[in-house]
Amino acid sequence: MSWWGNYKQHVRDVIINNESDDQENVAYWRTTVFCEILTYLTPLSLIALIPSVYMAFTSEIYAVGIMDLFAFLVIVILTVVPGIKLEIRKGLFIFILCCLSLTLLYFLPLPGPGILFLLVVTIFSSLIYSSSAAYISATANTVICIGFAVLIHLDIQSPISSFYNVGSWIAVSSNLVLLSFACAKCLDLLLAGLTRSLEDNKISEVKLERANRLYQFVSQINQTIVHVKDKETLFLKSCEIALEFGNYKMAWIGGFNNAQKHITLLDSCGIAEDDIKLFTHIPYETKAAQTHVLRTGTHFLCNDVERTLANGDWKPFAVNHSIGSFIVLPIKKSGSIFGTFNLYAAEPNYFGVDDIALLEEVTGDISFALDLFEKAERHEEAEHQLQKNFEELEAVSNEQSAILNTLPASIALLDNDGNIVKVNEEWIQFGLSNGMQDTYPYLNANYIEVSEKSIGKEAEDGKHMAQGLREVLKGNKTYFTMEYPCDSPTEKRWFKAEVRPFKSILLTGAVVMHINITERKMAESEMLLLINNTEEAFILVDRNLEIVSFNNQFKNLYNTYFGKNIEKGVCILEYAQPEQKEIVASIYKKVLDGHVEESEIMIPGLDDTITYFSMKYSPAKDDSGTVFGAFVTATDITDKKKAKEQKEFERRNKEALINSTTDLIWSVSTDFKLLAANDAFIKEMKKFTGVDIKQGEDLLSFDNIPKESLKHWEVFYQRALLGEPFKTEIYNPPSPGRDESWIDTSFNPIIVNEQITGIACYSRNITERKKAENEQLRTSTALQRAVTDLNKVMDSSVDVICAVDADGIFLKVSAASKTVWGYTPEELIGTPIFKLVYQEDLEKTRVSSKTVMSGNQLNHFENRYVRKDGTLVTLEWNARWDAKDQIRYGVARDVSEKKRLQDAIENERQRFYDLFSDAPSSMGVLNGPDHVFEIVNPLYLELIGKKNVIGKTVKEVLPEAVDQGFIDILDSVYKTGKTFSSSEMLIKLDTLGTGQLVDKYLNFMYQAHRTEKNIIDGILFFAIDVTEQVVLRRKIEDSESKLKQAQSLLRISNWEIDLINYINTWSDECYDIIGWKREDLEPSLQAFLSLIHPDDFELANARVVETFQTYDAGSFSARIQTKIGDIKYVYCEWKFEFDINAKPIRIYGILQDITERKIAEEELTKITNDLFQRNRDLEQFTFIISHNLRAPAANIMGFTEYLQDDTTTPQEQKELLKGLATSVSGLDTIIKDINSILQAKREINDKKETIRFSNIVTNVINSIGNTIDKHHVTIKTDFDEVDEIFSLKVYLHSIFYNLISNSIKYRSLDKQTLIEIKSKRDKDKIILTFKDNGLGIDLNKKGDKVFGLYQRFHNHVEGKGMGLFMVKTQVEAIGGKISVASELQKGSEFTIIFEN
Amino acid sequence: MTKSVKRFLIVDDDSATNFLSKMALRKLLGEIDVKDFVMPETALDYIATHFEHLHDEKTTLFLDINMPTLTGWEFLDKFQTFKEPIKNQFNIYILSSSIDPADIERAKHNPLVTDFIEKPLNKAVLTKLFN
Repeated sequence: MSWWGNYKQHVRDVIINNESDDQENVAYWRTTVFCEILTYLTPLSLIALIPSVYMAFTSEIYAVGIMDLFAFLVIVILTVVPGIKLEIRKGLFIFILCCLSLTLLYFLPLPGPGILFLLVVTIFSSLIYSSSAAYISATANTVICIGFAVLIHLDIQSPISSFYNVGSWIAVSSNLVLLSFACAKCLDLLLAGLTRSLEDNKISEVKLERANRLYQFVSQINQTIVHVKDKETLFLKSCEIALEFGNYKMAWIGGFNNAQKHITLLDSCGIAEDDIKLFTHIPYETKAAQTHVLRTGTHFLCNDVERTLANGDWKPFAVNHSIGSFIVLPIKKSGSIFGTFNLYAAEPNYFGVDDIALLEEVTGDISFALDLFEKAERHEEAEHQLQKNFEELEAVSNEQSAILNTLPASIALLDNDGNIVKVNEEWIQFGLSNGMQDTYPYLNANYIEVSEKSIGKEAEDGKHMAQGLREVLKGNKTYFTMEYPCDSPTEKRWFKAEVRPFKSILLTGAVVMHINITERKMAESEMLLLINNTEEAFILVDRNLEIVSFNNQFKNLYNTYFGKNIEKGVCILEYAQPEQKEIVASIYKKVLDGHVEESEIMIPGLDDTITYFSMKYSPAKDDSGTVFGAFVTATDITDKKKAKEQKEFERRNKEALINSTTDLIWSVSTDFKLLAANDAFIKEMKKFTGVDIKQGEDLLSFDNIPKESLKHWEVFYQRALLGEPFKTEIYNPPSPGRDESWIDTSFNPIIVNEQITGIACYSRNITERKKAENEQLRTSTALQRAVTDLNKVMDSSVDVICAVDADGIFLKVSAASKTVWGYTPEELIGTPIFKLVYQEDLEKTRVSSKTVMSGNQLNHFENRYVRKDGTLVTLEWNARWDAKDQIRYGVARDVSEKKRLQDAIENERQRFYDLFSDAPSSMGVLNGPDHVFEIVNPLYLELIGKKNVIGKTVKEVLPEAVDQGFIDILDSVYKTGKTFSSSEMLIKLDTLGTGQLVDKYLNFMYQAHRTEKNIIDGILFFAIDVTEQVVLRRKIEDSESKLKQAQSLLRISNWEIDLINYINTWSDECYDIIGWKREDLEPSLQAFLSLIHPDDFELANARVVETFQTYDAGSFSARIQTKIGDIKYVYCEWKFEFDINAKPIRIYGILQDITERKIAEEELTKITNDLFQRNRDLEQFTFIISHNLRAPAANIMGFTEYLQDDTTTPQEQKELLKGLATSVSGLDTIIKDINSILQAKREINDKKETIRFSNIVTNVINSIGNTIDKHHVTIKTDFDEVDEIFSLKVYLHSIFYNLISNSIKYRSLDKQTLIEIKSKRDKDKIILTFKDNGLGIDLNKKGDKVFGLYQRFHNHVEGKGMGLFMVKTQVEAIGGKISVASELQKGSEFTIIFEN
Repeated sequence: MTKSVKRFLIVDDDSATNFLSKMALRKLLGEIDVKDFVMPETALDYIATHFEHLHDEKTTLFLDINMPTLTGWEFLDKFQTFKEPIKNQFNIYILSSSIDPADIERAKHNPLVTDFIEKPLNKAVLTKLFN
């Protein structure tokens, strides 16, 4: 039935068109009913139309038929044609129905259909219009009925008047009127009810919606409050929610700014910010709504802006924005008005009682939230403050901890039970240093228990400590301290422990502090040691004279002498003897006033002995100088006293002794005053001067003693004052009343403290002795004279006359000694004669002197003497021995002259012979016609190679010479007397005696020897062997010719410059040397210079410039570059040639290629440097060896020195011997080392052979297998590339051995040792590498010394520092090089390169 | 009342030498404060830590040259880096068995070194030093 659906839809579209579809509106339903009527009426009326039209036309009532068709047509148009207004459609519809019903009533005889239609009109009117329309229609019906009644009544010609009379019409029409009104009324009631219920429904819906909305609003606000943390968001959200959920047009929140009387906008929604200025820009007094809220604290409501609001500033705005109503609600904070929540609604009367209640609730909630935020903020602030406080507190605490930690004391805080609560750094350190482990649980340990559990030496101190801790913790004591020793493993230490109660809010307990007082203790103990070890007795008392301290001596002293023990704290006076108390008190009083007092006391002992004490009382002062007590020392001076007495006794004795002698004894001060003198001196002085001399009086100012004499004394005194002790005889000439006298006086300087303080003099009268001596002297004078005469005789002798004793000492010598020996007799007497004898003659002189002394007379004995001037003198002796006096007398004559003459003749002869035999030519004399050799010199014998030729003829000696014609020559010379000479004559001689003749070239001469009578009796011959010269010359000639040849090969070329015409000429060789062709290079100086190497150019050019200034010959060496670019060394030398006016006209020179020489020179330089380096190495080696040899040697010297020292104790001797043994064995080791090094240098001569590396490694491993196993060493080898080398096996083995054992020795202890040995071939080199993962060597520091002798790099391993030196020596000996790469803790790699 | 005794430090890897040197010092000078070190590094540490505070009298240091881990010269180089107050407390003598003129020359030219002494340290040498 789609067409039906489409139709219906169409009709609906056409009729309802744009009408609202508000279903709750009655009009909607009326329009819908109208639409439905039309929808169904069109098809239904079509069905009714056909019969009714047919009937009308058949009944000939055409008006009705036409009306039917017309009515149908109008209805169809109304139903389907769009664009007609609904009102017109409705009016037309009712109108056509009315027309139809009137037509039917008028034309049809039956009233039924017309009336029916009229009734329908009434009903439809009611349905599609309103109830009142139904009444109009009913009234219209009544009018129509009355009209028809009038028509009938007036009986106007019409169909209807024909069918009805008035009566019947009224009867029919009254029903219609009645029904019309009844229908109108009924429909009116029905529709009114429907409409009302519809509207009621609508109102309640609206209410519900609003309630919902409000609750949503409230609930959203509440949710927001829950979630939002700050007021800004809350305000923003509240405004947004007001619009979204509260359906308000605008919402804003303002705060009262009481200070400025302004409203501050906090947030808004739905309103432009500019618009809000209407509120916020004006002081709020003028704003009724806001002021009201502020004033009353209740909301302000305006439900009808247009009517009720007084005309304010924003009323026009409200009207413009079609705001119907608004409410301003108070927002409170902490109970007072904070601001307002302003809500604007479009409709008037928007705010009902419920709304207001809910809104108040909302604002209440917001207020609550604000309070909450405020609280939260305060809370946060408080928390922040708390945090800050906490941090400050923590900082303070840290600072305090830091202070505690910096204190040099161990500090711990204990709780009431003695548990450790807190400790400082030092405490922990103390624990650690005393062997506690890192994990030492110092906290929470119970310190009382810890102390109590101390063991060993500390047990007692520990218990004492525990006791102290308990008492302080209990409160019995407010302070506990103790000092205790606590030695660390390395040193002696003392500690002082202090315990004090501790009280804070958190903790009641105690603080324990340990302070290291070792230093003080040590000082104290040292002090105590000093005090107790001194001989003096000390005591210290305070101002009240109570004893503060005393030392052991004092205690012992008191105990010994008074039998009492003194105690500290007791008044010193208690210990004084009762009778002395007063004196003692007065002494102390003075001392306390600052005076120093001394006294001596005498204490009678038990056994008649008396002990003396020297007491010294000093005020004891503190640092500020205040006297706080007295310090008394008592020294036992008994011995001193006794010694003094003894001394006094001795002194008196001495004095008595001194005074009892008649010798004079006195002493003089440095200024010549009398210091002391014995009685004899004083008496003697009185005798001389008449004065009683006293001590202190001047000894050199006596009026009655001659000045001269005093002067003598002064000289003596002064001499003594210079420090010389001496003795002298002083002669006092006779003076009136006095005989002459001699005194023997000794002067001794008195030395005190190395200073001369005076002179001690001792004098004895020796006058008697002197006189006796003088007498004796006189008697011997006569004798003396006789002797003198004899001496004169002796001295006048030319010969030396002398007497010597048995030992050869001169006793007497005559004056001739001066001429013979050069010495005066005085010089000789007392000296031995043998001193003068010439060394060579000494022995024979001694022998002869012995002969003399055995009693033989010696005559004409000759010997030589050395004179004073160093010349020799020969003497001939006659000597005799006087056995009685044991004196040898001798007379000696100078026979030097005679001797010299004899010697001269002998010399002459000898000289001649020497000349003959040493002459550089062979010579000799032949005698007689047979030429018999009379004399020949050795050179001649050498020449002819014969011996024993004298007496033989030339023919016999030299048979080979006969054929060579020499005999003939000799004969001719002998006969003619003509001298024959020849040079470079060849003679063949059998010099070797083998028959083999040797060529000799001789220059020789035969000369006739004539007798005095000019008769020829022989031939002198001279021959010079020039064989060597001839041979040499021949060789030179030969080589000279060769030289000429060589020179051409020497590549020397010549050149010249003609200075007149400036023409350069270069020889062909020149071009050869410079490597250019003549046609390519024009000869010129510039051309030549251009060839010179840039590096040498400057020098060469300078020479050239110089030579043209000086015109001296010159030369230079330089490198030149040939045409093909080779470098050659050339030597260039030149000379100028001058004309007679000394003007240079030509230079000619040579150019030599010296490249080969240069290269050779360079090589030589290299070798020299090499040698120099080797020499230095060798020198260094020597120093090292000597240093290492010296080290033990020096020790041995030291040990032996102290072994010989007398002060060495037996214990020290033992140690010294041990050290000596070590040093000696060290020395031995080094000598062995040197031996092995030297051996290494010798072994080079051994034979080389083909060696396999793998075999060597195997051998080494076998030899040190134990070590390798012990240290788990892995040795990896790789000799795949090359396993053989042609070298010295011993060396290679040693190299491998040393490197492997070194790697093991210096292995790393935390790694598995791995040694990798590898061989490689690189061209003709063989490269060996030894790599390990050991300790390595710091090459930056030690690089240059790795291979040095006696160099070691690790202290922990025993090593001699020889291994690598040996390795290097041996590697180099077999033509290799060794280098090392190493890194500390990584390992070392040695690389050895052998060049084949 | 504490008596100040002469102080000595001996740095030498040869303990026999040190024994001798100590004996020589004690024999001549009686009670002295002498310490010997076979490891030069230890000696340096000791000096750095024990000579922070000044001693009244100068300390005499005998230093060997030929030592494996640190030679006498290297020791002096390190010593040079100490603060003046520490350095000033020392009189340093090179005590060596070396007779290499280069060593002696080097010792004479080193401003830190007072003199070069050839081993052994004996009475005669010490008497000359301390009279």
